[in-house]
Amino acid sequence: MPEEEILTVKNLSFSYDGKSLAISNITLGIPKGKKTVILGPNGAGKSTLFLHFNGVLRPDSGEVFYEGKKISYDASSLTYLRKNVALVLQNPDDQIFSATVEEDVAFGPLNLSLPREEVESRVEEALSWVGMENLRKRATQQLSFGQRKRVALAGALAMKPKVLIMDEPTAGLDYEMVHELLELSDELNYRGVTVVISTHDVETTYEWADEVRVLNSGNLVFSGKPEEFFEQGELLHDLGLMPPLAFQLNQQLHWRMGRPERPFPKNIVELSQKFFPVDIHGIGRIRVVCVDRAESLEAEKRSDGEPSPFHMRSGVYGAKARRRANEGRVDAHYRYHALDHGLLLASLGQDFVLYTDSSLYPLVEARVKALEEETGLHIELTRQ
Amino acid sequence: MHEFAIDKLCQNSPFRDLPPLGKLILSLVLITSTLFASSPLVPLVVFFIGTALFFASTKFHAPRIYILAYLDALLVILVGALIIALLTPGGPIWNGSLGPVSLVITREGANLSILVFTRAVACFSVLLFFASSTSIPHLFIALRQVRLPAHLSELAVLVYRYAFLLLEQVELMVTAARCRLGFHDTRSSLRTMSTIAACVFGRSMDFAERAEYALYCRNFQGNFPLLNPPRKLTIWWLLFPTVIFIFMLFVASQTRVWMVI
Repeated sequence: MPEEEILTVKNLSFSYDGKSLAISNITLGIPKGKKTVILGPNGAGKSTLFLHFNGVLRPDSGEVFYEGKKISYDASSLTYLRKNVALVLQNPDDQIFSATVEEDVAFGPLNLSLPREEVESRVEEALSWVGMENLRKRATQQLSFGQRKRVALAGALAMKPKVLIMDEPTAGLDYEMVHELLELSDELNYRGVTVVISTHDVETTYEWADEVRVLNSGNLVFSGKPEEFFEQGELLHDLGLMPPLAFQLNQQLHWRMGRPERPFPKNIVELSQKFFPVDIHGIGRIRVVCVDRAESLEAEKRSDGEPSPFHMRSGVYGAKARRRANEGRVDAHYRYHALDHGLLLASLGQDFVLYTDSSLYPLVEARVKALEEETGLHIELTRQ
Repeated sequence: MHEFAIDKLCQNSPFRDLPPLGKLILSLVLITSTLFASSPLVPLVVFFIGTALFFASTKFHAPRIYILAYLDALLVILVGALIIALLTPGGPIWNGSLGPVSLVITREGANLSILVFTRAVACFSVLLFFASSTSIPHLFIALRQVRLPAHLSELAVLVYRYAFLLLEQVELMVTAARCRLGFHDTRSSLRTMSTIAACVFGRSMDFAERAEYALYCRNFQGNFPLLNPPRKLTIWWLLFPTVIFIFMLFVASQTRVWMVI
């Protein structure tokens, strides 16, 4: 059964100057509830495609569909579309208009004529997602680039969109912020938001995306799963791309040792297990502590005492847990890649404490289960 | 950067949330009252009020740029006052010469120059208070209350926002040009600055186009709604400056003949 597409373009062509085509007769779909990467070099037409998804640009020819309905460009349809499809532009300065952070985040919800209480609550929630709640009164021109990126993202999240599109979201960000952004995208996706990002980064594409669409000079050159794309050596060569390191190592393992290529390892845990398999029994466990449940934290305190012997083997996962760690209310060593570190340490026979929001527990469970299915590694998961 | 320091000052001022129009009226009343005075007493009172408000607004941490601006203005005012003192006819109180030019300061000239000097310094201190406590976007949005067209106020807010971005661009371009010896002599400096100016103009067009896209992306409906609009002008903000104005007029009338010299 074909996947349901939330956004679709059919035979889309567009030119800015009426001569050269920025997008040339492309047909593609964005699957609902998935994480999709639009991969391509500069000038491939990624940003132009995004502006079509949001109804800012009208195609010269072809059609754009949202939830199966063709976009008509009247005011009420566009309002409906932009309420559900939020676009975060590459340069945050392009989309921050207001004098203060909270005013800027409120800009979209206020344009929807929502009641003040609802706007207030959305602003608070969106700022808390991106960890900017302490800077809500700050003037926008006094923010660093990373903070501006967060504000731009909060402005999109405040719309409570069904589809979140981010144009080159990781460009110009430091490692921590990139990781935080991708983890936040995972969390949003888990909560039902379809996430679409554009990037040139093959590593991010391979590790993060469920689906990939590859554009080159305004043409769609590939549509499918990331691992299927990286298997196409000739196409990669034509595009001047190198496969991700994990993919290449796995390929070498297959060629040199005759090990099966599938399932493709996508992260350090899967890769390690494939290269250096450990006994599937008698390994460590991951203890999940829910930061939004007071009794859960209390239980953790009682069992650990002070100082926590688990400090070097603990981490935070998700926006709420990270916020608690930043506030000093949770004593955790790993602020980034905590789940990967936890799985890695557990596979080495050590216990790990993972602080997260209780609503994210099923996501952690799904990750552990997926790892077991792919590698046979059984890691015990307990919840407090 | 200095422009950011000034903006930061407005955002952090304890008077930030007072009605911008109220602050504007109070400032205008204080400035205008100095014009009705023929003795320096009223300007001096206004100077002390303005300075006290300015220091309270900055919590006694005025940035250096403010002090420099103040001293700069003081120098210009001083030169102007000196010229007035030298050019006003009347009874001489001091004679001197500067080479072939003879200089005479008259009693009337001295009094007038002192009056002008104190007025200017007083007005400047009031302006400093206003500038340090009221951000431009707040002021323009507040001006809607007195029927300033919404388009003008929104345009002003956008111009204000993008002015900072363009300033950032200029700063980057100047640094980049300096790295490539763009300012190694006067001629190259002039050429570099003109190139940068042209380039910034081009960038501003680019900004405008991208800003338009971004506005549409965020469901722009033709006006800028505000989550926390500045407080509206109340009757107290009309009564309070009126009382001050009447008091100043009374003081001015009682000290009409009060001269320094």
